[in-house]
Amino acid sequence: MSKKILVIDDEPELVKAMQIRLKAAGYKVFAAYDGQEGLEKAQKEQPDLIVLDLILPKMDGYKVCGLLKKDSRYARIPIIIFTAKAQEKDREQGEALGADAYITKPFEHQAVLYKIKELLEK
Amino acid sequence: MYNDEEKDREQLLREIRALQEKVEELERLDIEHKISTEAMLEHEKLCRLLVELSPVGICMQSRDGKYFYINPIGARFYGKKAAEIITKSPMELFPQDEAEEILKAIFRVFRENKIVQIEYSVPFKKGFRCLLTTFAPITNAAGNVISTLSIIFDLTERKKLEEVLQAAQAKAQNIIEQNPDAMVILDEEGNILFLNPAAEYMFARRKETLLGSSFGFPLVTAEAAQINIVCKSGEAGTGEMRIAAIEWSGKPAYLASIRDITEVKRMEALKAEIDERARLDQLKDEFVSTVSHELRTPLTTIKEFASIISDEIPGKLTKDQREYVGIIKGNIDRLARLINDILDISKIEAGKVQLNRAMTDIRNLVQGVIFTLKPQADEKHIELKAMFQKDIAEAYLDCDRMTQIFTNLIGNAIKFTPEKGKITVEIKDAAKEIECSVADTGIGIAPENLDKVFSKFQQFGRTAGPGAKGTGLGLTITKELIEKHSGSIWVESKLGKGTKFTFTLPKYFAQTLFKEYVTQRLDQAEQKGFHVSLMVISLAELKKINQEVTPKQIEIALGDIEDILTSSLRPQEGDFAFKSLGEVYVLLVDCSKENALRVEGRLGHVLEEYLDRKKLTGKINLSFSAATYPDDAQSTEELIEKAKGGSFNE
Repeated sequence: MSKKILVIDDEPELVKAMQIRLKAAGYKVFAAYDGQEGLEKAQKEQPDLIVLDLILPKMDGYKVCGLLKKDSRYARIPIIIFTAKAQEKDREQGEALGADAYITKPFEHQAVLYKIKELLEK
Repeated sequence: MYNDEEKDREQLLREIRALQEKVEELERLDIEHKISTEAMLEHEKLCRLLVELSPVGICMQSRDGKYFYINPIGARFYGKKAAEIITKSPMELFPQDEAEEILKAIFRVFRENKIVQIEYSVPFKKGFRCLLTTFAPITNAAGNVISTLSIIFDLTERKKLEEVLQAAQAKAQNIIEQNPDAMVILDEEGNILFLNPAAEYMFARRKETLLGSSFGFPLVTAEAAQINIVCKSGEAGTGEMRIAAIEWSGKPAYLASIRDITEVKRMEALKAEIDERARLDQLKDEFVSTVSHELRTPLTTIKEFASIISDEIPGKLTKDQREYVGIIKGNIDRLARLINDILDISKIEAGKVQLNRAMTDIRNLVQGVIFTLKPQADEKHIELKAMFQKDIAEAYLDCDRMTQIFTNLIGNAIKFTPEKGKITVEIKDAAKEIECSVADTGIGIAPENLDKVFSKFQQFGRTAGPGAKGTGLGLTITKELIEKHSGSIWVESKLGKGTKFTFTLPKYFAQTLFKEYVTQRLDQAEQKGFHVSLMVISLAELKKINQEVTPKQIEIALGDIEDILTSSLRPQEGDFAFKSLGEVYVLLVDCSKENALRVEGRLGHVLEEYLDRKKLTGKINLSFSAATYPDDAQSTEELIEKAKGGSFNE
């Protein structure tokens, strides 16, 4: 069975691109467009991996990441932070919350696919 | 006959009567005379008494200046007794100058029959007595001067008071003259009565031209007012003026004191400017950060769809379509690099770049960059090689930033070097510095452009061709980052022959850095009141014991031990392992003696396992020693010294 990936990003077009790319790579993709929805979908769908943007409506990515990583039911789900925030302090903050990887936008899709594969195989 | 007799008798009577009258008159006169003589005697006595008791000195001198009378107070003024003065000439009594002065006055009195007044001082006890003497002529019935009568006043006390007063005045004057504040005294109409040199200076006019003229500022005594002045440099400045009501020569007046606050104002303005600039920098920083974020977001979507198309996920592409999408992708990447570089430059310019420096193996770093860029060089058949001078291994640098520096320089070299060219990266030991250079056999830079290479958005001799296009910011960033590392960069180039960029990095000695690090931790410990333990794990005495182990093996073991220790420590607390000659230092922050002992046991165990794994047990022996701050030592030097010598087991 193909692995489930939840993409949480408020840019629907980018989410669409991700869906195309990830489906082409053989993954099943769910999408959420704000932090609140992302958190709910994560709980409902139990994805194998989450791709999370930091700046989101309703609840920001830091909060989503923090809540999921603190909850023992979801803590094992790898989270890749995807953000256009390239400042070192952002990366540090993300890592401090327990994110498993941090990729800045714009990204190389090869690097993303490689990271996803690596995290899913862990 | 009778008539005659009668006549005679009457005559006689008249004569008797006249005689009687004369007697009477004589008698009367005699009484009067008697009375007068007595009175005169009384009068003279009174006068003499008055003279003798007078608080004023009185003396009489003859034509030759000799004293024939002096009252007791006069004698006292001269510091002598009257008897010592009478019949003496001033020449016998006073120093020559004063004596001559007195004699000259007496001669004048005699010659001109006039009152003469002189002031002179005579020695008195240890000091001087200052005397004012008025000589008056005394004449006989014929009007000739026969002697002088002098009245002597003692001015000594008054003179002393005057001196005190003068000194006080001079002091006050001095304070006013030397005062850096301008001080002006004005009458009620605002005319200048007095001003000090600072005021002359401030108004850039001489005293003479200012006295009596109108001051021109309102005389309000309430608060300090700011006025325009001419300051030292001759430029317009600001003065702070205070006005006080005073009395001057018995009349109401104003004292205006003006302080030159130009410098203070300038500093205030400067501070405001700095604050404002900081605020603008902050805004710019936020702006750049926001803009770059906003640009990246759509760029990411564009890039993703472009690569989805070029990867032919939605469908097959024609040859031309593939080429065009490739161009789109190339330019998206260029835009992304530009955004990154602009963000970098803005961070550097705002002083926000913090280097995260550590002792780093520069060989590894350079080889890593070469490994990454090798495919690009290979594409153009460029020979890319690195040369390292012996002994150079470690440098104190920010690994990410130094990678960026080498990537920029080598990347540029590849871009501007034609096919089959050559690029040489060299790391050399130059006495106090480490010298790094990247030389290519590329197209070179024209001499007139050499000094512009580090400026923003300057690109020269760009040839159209394969490879990523630059942003025009790379060398600016490179230069800034090198300078952040306290190094410098320069360029040499020959058009058509090639270009060589060279930069230096200061050498830091590991030992010094380690000590610095320990000192910082001890400072923290002192402030926060915790303990710091330093442990020394020594391998030094092994050579004697065992010849089977080569120095090389020991060196490797030391490196491994350092790594093992580093991974078992708590770096977030500030713990640190440092490899030195034949020993490894372990710094344990916020760690008491007992805790250090426990750590020693644990580390000993881990290291034994390592030796066992490497089959070095029995060949390498480890000895532990340690010391704790503040228990054993108060300073870094002392702590290192004690740690090398002392053991916990003692």
